[in-house]
This record gives sequence, C-alpha cells and structure tokens, in this order.
Amino acid sequence: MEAAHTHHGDTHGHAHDDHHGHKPSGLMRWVKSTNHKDIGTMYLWFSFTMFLVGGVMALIIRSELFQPGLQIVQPDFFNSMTTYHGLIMVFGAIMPAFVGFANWLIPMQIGAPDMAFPRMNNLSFWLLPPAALLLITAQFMPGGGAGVGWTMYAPLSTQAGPAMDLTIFAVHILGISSIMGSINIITTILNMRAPGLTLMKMPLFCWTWLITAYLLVAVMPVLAGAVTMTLTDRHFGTHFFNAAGGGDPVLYQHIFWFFGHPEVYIIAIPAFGVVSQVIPAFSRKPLFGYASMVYATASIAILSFMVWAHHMYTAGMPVEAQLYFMYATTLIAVPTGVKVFNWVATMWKGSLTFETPMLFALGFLFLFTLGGFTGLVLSITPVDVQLHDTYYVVAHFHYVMVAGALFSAFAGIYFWLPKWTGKMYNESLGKLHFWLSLIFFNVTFFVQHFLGLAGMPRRIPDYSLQFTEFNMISSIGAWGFGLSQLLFLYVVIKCIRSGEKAPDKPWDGADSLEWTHLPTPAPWHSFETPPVIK
Amino acid sequence: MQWAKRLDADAALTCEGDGLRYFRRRCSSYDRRLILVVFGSLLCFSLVVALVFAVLGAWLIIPFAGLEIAALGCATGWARRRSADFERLALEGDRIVVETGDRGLVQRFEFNRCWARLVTGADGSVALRSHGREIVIGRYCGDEGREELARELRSRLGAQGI
Amino acid sequence: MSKKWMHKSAAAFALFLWSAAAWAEYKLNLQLPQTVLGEKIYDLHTIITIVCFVIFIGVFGFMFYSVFKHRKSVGHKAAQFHENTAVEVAWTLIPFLILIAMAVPATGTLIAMRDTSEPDMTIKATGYQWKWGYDYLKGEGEGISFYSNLSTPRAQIDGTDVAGRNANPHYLLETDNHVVVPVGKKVRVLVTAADVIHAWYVPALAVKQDAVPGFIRDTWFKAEKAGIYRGQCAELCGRDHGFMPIVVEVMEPAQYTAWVAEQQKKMAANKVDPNKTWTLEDLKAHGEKIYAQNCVACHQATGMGVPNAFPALAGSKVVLGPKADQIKLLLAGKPGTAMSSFKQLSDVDLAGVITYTRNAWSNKTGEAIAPAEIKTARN
Repeated sequence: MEAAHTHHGDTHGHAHDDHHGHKPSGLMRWVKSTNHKDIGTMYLWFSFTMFLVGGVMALIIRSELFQPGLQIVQPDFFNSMTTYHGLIMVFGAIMPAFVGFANWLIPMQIGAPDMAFPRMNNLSFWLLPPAALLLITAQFMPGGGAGVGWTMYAPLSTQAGPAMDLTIFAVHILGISSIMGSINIITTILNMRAPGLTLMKMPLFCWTWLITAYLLVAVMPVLAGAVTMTLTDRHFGTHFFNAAGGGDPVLYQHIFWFFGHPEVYIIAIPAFGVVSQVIPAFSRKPLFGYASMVYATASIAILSFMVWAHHMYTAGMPVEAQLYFMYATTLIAVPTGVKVFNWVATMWKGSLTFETPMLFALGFLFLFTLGGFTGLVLSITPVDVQLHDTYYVVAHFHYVMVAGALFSAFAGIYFWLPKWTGKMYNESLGKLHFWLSLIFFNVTFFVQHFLGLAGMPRRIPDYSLQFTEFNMISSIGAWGFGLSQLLFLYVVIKCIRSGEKAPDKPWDGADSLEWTHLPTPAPWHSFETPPVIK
Repeated sequence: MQWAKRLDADAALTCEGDGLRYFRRRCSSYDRRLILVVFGSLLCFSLVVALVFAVLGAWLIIPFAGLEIAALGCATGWARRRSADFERLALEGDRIVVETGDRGLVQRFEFNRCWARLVTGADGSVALRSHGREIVIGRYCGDEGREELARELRSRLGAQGI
Repeated sequence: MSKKWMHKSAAAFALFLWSAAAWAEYKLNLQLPQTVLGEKIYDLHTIITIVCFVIFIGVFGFMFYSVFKHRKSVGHKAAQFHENTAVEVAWTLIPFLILIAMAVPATGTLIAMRDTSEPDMTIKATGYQWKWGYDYLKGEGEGISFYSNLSTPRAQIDGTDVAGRNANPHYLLETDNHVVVPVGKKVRVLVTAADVIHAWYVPALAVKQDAVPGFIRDTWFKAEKAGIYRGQCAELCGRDHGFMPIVVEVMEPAQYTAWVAEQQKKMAANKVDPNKTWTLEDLKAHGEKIYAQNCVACHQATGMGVPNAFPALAGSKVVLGPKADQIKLLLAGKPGTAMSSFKQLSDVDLAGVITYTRNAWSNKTGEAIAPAEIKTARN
C-alpha cells in the first residue's frame, strides 16, 4: 500500500481546507480566503469603493456641466471622466456587487457548504484590485486618460494615448475574473444543490445568476477579442478596424454591442433576482408566477443576443436590418412586462410592510419600469435616430442601471445585512437613505430626458445656453445623490459596529434556506450537511 | 430528482455482529444531461459566434472562445468526477478496507483492526489512524451520519472479538 | 420675449419651476420638426410616449392601490395565491399586440427615412477633428466646397468673456460657413469622415447619420420652411467633440441661386492660378490661413501644441528636418495618432501651410515649398 502513504496526506489536508477549516484571523484571512462569505464581503466592499471612485468622476462631470462654458476641467479630462466613470461603474461597481451577492447567497440558498472552486473564487476576486488600479493609473499616463467613451469605439481608441493600453489590460483582467466567477457559479448551482432541491425549486436569485453566468460565459470572449483587436491595431499593424487597411470601424461596434447588450442584462438580471426575493418577503406571500419568472428571465437572456444593433441605428445599416432589430428589440418588452406584472401581482392582496429593503425594491420597480418605457421609445428606430447619443439615452440607461441595478443592490444589502452581520441596521436611517436617493436620483436624471429631446448630445463638456437650467438641476441632483451615499456607508458601518442583535429571521415572509435553515449571523461554513428539501 | 434517489438508494451502513459495511456517495446534484445541455449549447454558441465574426474579419475572438470553452470543459469534467466521489468501508475479520473515490482517483487502504484507532479532529472530522497513516472517513454522510458511523466503528475496533 | 431675462437672471432658475409661462419657454419635447418626415417622427414619439404613460399609470395604479390597501398596518391578511394561467397569458399577449400596433407606423416611417433615391441635390459632409467639410456634388451649386468651423469666440468658451457668452443666443451652435440649401428640395447628404467617427445631427431636420471614416453613408431631408437650423456632432470624436456644430440655412430658391452665384464668384477669386510663381511671403500668408482652419485646434496658434497630447511644431524635428518627410507626414498622416492625413487639401494649401510652419514662431528655415513639390510627392 505504498499509494496510501503518498496520498493520504493529500486527502486529509484537502478535507480540512475545504470543509472543516477554522476561521483564520488577521489580514491573511482575507488575502488567502477561500470562504465564500469572506470573498462575498470583499466583493461588496470593493464594489462600494469603486462606486465612490466612479461617483467622484460623475460629480466632476456634473460640476463641469453645472453651467455653460469650460470652468473646472478641460475637454480631454472631461472625456476621460465620462469614459472611466462608465467603465468603473459597469465593471468595477455594479458587476462585482452582484458577484458579491452571488458568493454570499448561492451556497446558502442551495444548501451547499461553499462554492465549487474556492481557490479560483479567491483568485477571481484578487484580480479585481489590480484591474481597478490600472484604470486609475491610466489617468496619470502621458496625455491623460483615454477619452474614448466606455464603448471604446475604433478608430478613436486606436488613436488614443498610452492610457488606452492600460485600459485594455484592465478590461482583460476584469473579463478573466468574470469568467472564473461565472464558471464557478454555474458549476456550483448545477452540482452542489442539496438533495431534493430541483432547479425549479431554487430561489429565483439563484436562477437569475445561473442565467447571468451563462450570458457572461457566452459573451466575454467577444469583449476580450474586441479589445485585443484594438490593441493589435494600435501596436502590431493589423487593420481590423482601419478602413485604410481594409478593415471596418463599424465591425468594432457590432462586436462590442454583441457583448454590450447581453452585458446590460448581465447587470439587470441579478437585480431582478434580488427584487424577486425581497418583494415576496415583505408581501408575506409567495412570488407570483415563479415558473413564468424563470421563463421570462431566460427569454430576456436569449433575446439579448439578437438585438445588439439597436445601439447602432445611426451607424448605417441596410433598412431590412434596421427593421429586424427594431422588431426584435420591441419584443423584449414582453418578457420584461411579464416580470413587472408578476411583481405587482405578488404584492396584490399581500400583507405589505415597508422596511428599507422593500422601499428600495419598490423604487426599483417603479423607476426600472420607467427606464423600460424609455427603452421602448428608443427601440422604435425612427425615434431613436432623433434621440441616439443624446441625453435621452443617458437618462434611459441611468434609470435602468442606477434606479434598476443599484437600487436593487441596496434592497439586497439592507435585506441580507442582518443575516450577514448578525445585527440590524437603523431602520429610520435606512429609510432616509432611500428617500434621499429616490428624490435626488430623479432630480438628476428625469430632467435629462428633456435635454435629450431638445437635442443635447451626450459626452460634451460644454453646451449651448438653452440647456442651462436643466443641466443645473441635474448637477444639483447629482451632488445630492452622491452625498446621500455617504449616509449609506454610515448606516452599514453603524450596523456592523453597534447594530442591535438580529433575530434568525427578521423578515416574516423570507422563505429561502438561508433564513429558514441557518442561524443569524450565518455560520462560517454554511451547510456542512446538506439540508433535505421536500 | 434522479440523483437524489440514487443517493439514498445505495447509501448504507450495515452492521453484522462484529463486521460492518458502509457505503456513501458524495451529495451531488450532478445531472449528466443537464450539464451536456449547458456545456453543449455554450460550446456551439461560442463557436458559431467566433466563426461568424472570423468570417467578417475579426478572427481574434476564436482563441478567447477556445480558451474559455476549455476552461468550462475542465470545470464540467471536474463536476463529473466529483459526482462519482464515494467512500466504502468494510470491516471483516481483522481487516478494515477503506476505498475512496476522490475526483476520479480510486484508492484502497487497508488497516489492521487491532491497530487502527479512530481519532476525532477538533472540527468534528473523524479519521482512521494506524502506523502514522490517517484517512478521513464519513465525509459525505453529514454530522449525524458521521457520529453514527464513528460510534459503530469504535465499538468494533481494537482487539475485541479476536 | 422673456427669454433674455430668463437667461440672465439667476432668480429665474427658482421661478421657472412654478411659472407656467416659463415652462412654455423650455423645451420639454423634441424640437419642432421642419420636414414632413420629422413631423411623422414627432407624432410617432408622442403616440408611443402616451401609450407608455397609459400603461404606466395602469400598472402602477394597481401597485399603489396594493401599497395603500393591502398593507399590514391596515390589517390586511396575505392571500396565498401564486399563479393564474389566464391572467399570465393575457399579460403576455396584450403587450405583444400593443407592440405590433406600434411597429406598423414605425415601419412605414423608417422605410421613408431610408429612401434617399432621386434627390434634387447631393451634398457630401465630411467630419474632421473638429470641423465639418462640405462638398456640393450634384444639383444647383455643384462644385461649391468649404469647411465649416465653430465661430464662437474662444473667450466665451473658456470664461474670459462670460457677458459675451450670455448675450450669445447661438453659443456653440454657430459656424463660419453655413450649409445652405434651397427650401422644398430633397437634399441627399453623403456622410463620411476623415479621421474618427463623427455624426451629422440636425434635430429640427430629423437627421442623424454617423460619419464613418473610409465609408460613405447617406441620409436626406427636405426642409419645408426657410430658416436656420442648428445641430452638433453626436458621436464622441475626441477633445473638441462638443465644439463642431452644424448649421443648415434653408433659403428660398431665388435667394439660394444668389448664394450659389456669390459662392462661385468667391471661389473663382480664390482659385489659384496653377502657373503662378509663389514667393515665400505669399505662401506664408496663405499658409497661415490654412493653419488657422486646420491645425490650430491641436498644435495651437503658438505652435507649442499641448504637452503630452499634441506635439509642438515650433522647434519640431519634423518641421525643421528634410521637407520631404514633412510633406509625406501631411499627406499620409501618422497612423495611431490624432494626426490624420490632410491630402484633401490642395497642393497650394499644403505648400502654404508647410511653408508657414517652417517659417513661423522660432522656426526660421527660410525655405519656400512650391506647390509643384506637393504634386510630385502625391504621385
């Protein structure tokens, strides 16, 4: 039995690492952590930090736009701000926030001890800080940050300064991190569910992440390819996107948006998942139309691959293609509508209470739907041709991203904070945070619809006088919204430090495994023994 | 549901006098058909997308799609091997035979009943130890199952019965 | 009437929220369309917005009813239903039908928008970093060609002349040369770019078309009313993306004919005699004008460029080096940088601008580059 001698140590060590390890302490706990809860926590703090960084950039943009003329920043720096605000918010703040939720919740909700690949999980988190650092360092390169827009359209990006190279590497690293996270999530959900927990019994949050991870795996290579080709066009003499060398700049747009449109849903779908957990809990009533929610989410995901060129109605396409993309895009309204109707029906005849998570979920529902409607307006090609690349679009996607994804993330954080920390947040401060966010969000972005309708293009550092008043209102709102988020930070820190002890199940209607089967705060290892689901 | 039934069907701890048999698979919701659908559809999708863009002139998507599908393939393979993890323990005469399947690696260990000791780790894990070798057992049966296994085993270890 | 007062008074900012008259001054909707198609788009937008609004009120009427009536604090007990096939089928099918109803008029409008056939005249608009170039290709005015630069004084933009800015109703929306077209004629616009992607956008004429370097796209409009319509570049194109407006002036046919004659006279006057012998001074003077139109945005009037972004020409190795290299650089551009090819300029323009840079600021080469040298270099 020589084999036994050589292998038993491994077997033993492995078992200890993954399943029976004890909580280490100090900094190394975080650096080397393979625990899904620690990693989830790190993802959430990282994303909040990036949210503040991206937020400061947004405030620079809004301050410059407070009045006409160039007051605070020069156009190059302004362009750099719009670019990195977008990149950091999308890849640094919102996506990692929902990956944080996934890490914390998926193992608990499916009755697994941890994620399928704990070490890969650690790596996929620790790739993020270097990528963020690259994006920030890019600001200090000769010539400043690359003012090319978060879409990085060629040939502007192929001509940009050295900051563009750092940006490309950052996007690559973020992409690798996302891919590893997604593979981990898919494998975990497919293989590590507790006995009896069939797919159709999973909490909707797990479903939305399964679909999101699938989308990520499907489109990330496309993004990686797009930025790599930009890089080779810049430095290695290729002509993918250079018309003079036989390439096509519009091909870049097709590639980018083939990634970019599913990306929109990569952000929105986990947000749907969070809201689908929160609304039933505070309605004290099961989610209406669980199965149709799953099918609607899957349909949205499938449709997201077929509508990319609605971002390019003015780029010049055959009219037949424009018609197709218009029809396909309007179709997305159907499954999205089903989801909204289901949420409203969940509340119908419930027994509603309005704690902070529910308020944010309702804020999400109301404003995301508004963003959905402006999306419908934009899907109609002739109208889009008028509104494309104006502030109407800016308003539209901030309703979907901020009031949609961000509000949903806030709802989720307030909802699970007791489970995570074992302590309750201050309800009054939480509600104050909600109302401030809601009001200032609308002050900031609602008026931008009017700016866009009147014809103010996006990404301009200065504007003609007719746009002055709405820009002022928007800038005031932006500062209010930004400062309100410091209140959120205060609420969270106060909760962690001195919150009251939370009961195992602070919300009457919460019914997923983390509430029904685990104590509060959730133990270091979730389910060493799988629970049995009837 | 299939896997859940399978899990229950062949999991067993049978005790006959001073003999004991134990078998348990890892709890896994691995479903070959489902994995094939997910992996297969992603494989086809990525290949088609990469090839279509290659035809349009942007061939640099192919290597990334390839790398990623390879990574997903590894994860799928890992899941398949992991789902076959098992522990088998047989106590017969003066020998204890432990067979473990761990990510596709099947190992067989033999202990002498007289010398083997059951040790409990601080974290509640249970291991068989003899002559400096240690094998963790009862990994897949949960805390209660592990305690039962340890109880039954402990009562039959040592020189008793010979 | 009250417009000026509005723009000047800070108090108006607070006031306008309450005053109905003030609201009317503010653009809450698309700009008033000046073309038949524009009106169709305007109506389409109105109809869709109303439909959305009605659905929105309906759905959130239910939600708020629920919020107020089905709350725990009024003692409502939760029902436990969680599906209803009939309702679910209905709210899948009804939106689908509404969408079809929306798509029908949109389809007709879109097809009309894209029909650029049988134009009365054709103009090519070329986007440069950061100005527009126009060539009248066909129809009355054929052969007219000019650049159109932002004419708002720099002092108003950078804030040294705030009073001037506030008194300027067309701040950032004014150009030195307007695109002039006759009223009631179908104008086809071929849109392209020389360096990066721009977009030709005039809201009142309901046109927006990306200008893609190396490709020609087209769009069209037929203005129904004489007037001046203003728009901007709509696609991020680098530093001065916000500073390359488009001004279209629609004239009555007679006026337009007069404008064409005037332009042709001007062009004839400007036409350079190919056999003319150019002196250094002539070339330098001509080149200064060309420099001001094409180069100053990046390389600056001082020739010092912008540190870390655009190289200085004063003391530059290229400008002070062999002239063949500089000619080549201007004709081919420098790939991977903002320096694009300027081969669209005439031989005389290029000769002039090169002569100017080699003899301006601290550069004192004393060399004159003859237009013929450019001609040779082109081949």
